[in-house]
Amino acid sequence: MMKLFMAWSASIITLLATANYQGYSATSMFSGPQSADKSVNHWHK
Amino acid sequence: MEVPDTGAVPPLPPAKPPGRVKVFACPNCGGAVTLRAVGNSITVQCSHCSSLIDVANENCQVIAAAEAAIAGAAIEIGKRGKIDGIDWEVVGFQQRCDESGSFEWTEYLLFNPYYGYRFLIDEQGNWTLVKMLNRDVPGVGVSDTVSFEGRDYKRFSEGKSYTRRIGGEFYWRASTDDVSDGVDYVSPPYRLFGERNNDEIIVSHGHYISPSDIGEAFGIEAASLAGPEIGANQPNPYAAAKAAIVPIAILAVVGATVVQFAGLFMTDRSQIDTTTYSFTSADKDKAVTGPTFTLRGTSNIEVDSIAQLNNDWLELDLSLVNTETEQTFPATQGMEYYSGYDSDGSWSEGDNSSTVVFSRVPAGTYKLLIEPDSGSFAKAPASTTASSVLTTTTVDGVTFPSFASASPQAAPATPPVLARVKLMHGTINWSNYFIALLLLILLPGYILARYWWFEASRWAESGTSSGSDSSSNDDDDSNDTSSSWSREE
Repeated sequence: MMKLFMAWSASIITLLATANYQGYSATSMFSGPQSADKSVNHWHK
Repeated sequence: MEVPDTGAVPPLPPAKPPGRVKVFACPNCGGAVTLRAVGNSITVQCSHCSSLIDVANENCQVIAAAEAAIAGAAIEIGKRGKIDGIDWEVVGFQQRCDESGSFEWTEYLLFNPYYGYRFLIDEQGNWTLVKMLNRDVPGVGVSDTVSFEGRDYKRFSEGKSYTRRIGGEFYWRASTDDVSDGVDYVSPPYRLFGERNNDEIIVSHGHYISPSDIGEAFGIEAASLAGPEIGANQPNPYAAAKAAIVPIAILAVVGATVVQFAGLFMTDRSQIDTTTYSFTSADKDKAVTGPTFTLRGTSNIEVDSIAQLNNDWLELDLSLVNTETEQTFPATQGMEYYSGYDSDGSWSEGDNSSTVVFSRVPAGTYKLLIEPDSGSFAKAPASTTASSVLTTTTVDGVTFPSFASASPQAAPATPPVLARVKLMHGTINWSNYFIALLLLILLPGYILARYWWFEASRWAESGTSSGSDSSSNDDDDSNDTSSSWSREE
């Protein structure tokens, strides 16, 4: 069980480092980039 | 054929081991009484009439007739069992209780001719094998903490012990009138006992034996030997897991903290823009163009908005649009603030600020588009004047805008909703860190909680206020002499 917990801890820390590096927020309301939407063209001024 | 007499002396037969069995007639009822530790036992009880017989001399006089028949012993007298690799025979037992009479326990007297006597104490399913010490242990009966063979023992209970029933044979003059002062100390799985009987002070040392081991040793079903209560010196089943997992958890928490703060110092975070917008009903269903900026690498974009709201709400539909690929990152910010007075006084609810984070935004040039909607937009006729940007600040994002100082350049038909929108990139999200901490301490927290619950249950049964932590290296309060159990000089 201790080895499992060590592996679990290492995974969590790695995830934290990756998330911080990529700017990912676990609690962000953002659900990810959407595909290109041509309808936004009219917003460009 | 005759064997010649050589004159040699025949070898002596091997000496009988001490503690041989002897059978004699009970002087009270005439029944056969078996003495299992001849030469050691002083008192024996007749298994037929329960009379106590003095076997210290050849006359075997009756000391007293027992008041009640022997009953209630989980292990029969005469049974043999191997404990810790040594064969023991049960030669006697005594049932005892505390002053209130509510707590009873049984002490079995075990005998092995080569190892002497041991006590096997059954405290309602918690078993301790006890050996009498031939030396004094300083502090027993006086201090709250006693050191013995490198371990610290904490006082667990003390009080008088009354012998209720006896059976079998004993190396002392056992009696149902026996009363003794006792104190005990625990350092699971070990235990120290101090007992004062008349002028005699006896210190004994014991260790916990599981009911399954007792059952296996004496051929008794273990379930019938176990009890529901936690024993004074019963090993905490979570102690080993706690000792192993806590250092790992501490290391993991330190590691996560280092990673988090390293991210704080290494991430290229900066403020992109701070703008105060004046949204009017004319902006509804239209996109207000925010700042355009360039990201050099994958990063996050944090949008902090704060609005001047008075019993109103504001919703900002945000779109972060890559000007080259038109890839869009959408998000919504909702803010509302209501206040008033009622019979209970003033009240307020809601939050006029909101933060969203666009995660993992790839490198590129982006434009922020804001589509506002507000409750006030529907209350009054729509303005014919488009919104205008009041102020633009690119530094010192921590200063909130002074809405009072913001003066609309062209007064719209409806009051504008002022909102300051601040953009940052490369921000470190603390929620990641706290979620990581939560995940890291989940299992250790569970184990610690079970460990502490076990200790709290153990010490709840104690007669002291020693607390729930019974670790062997607690604060040394060995100078406490407030005990009522004291040695007589």
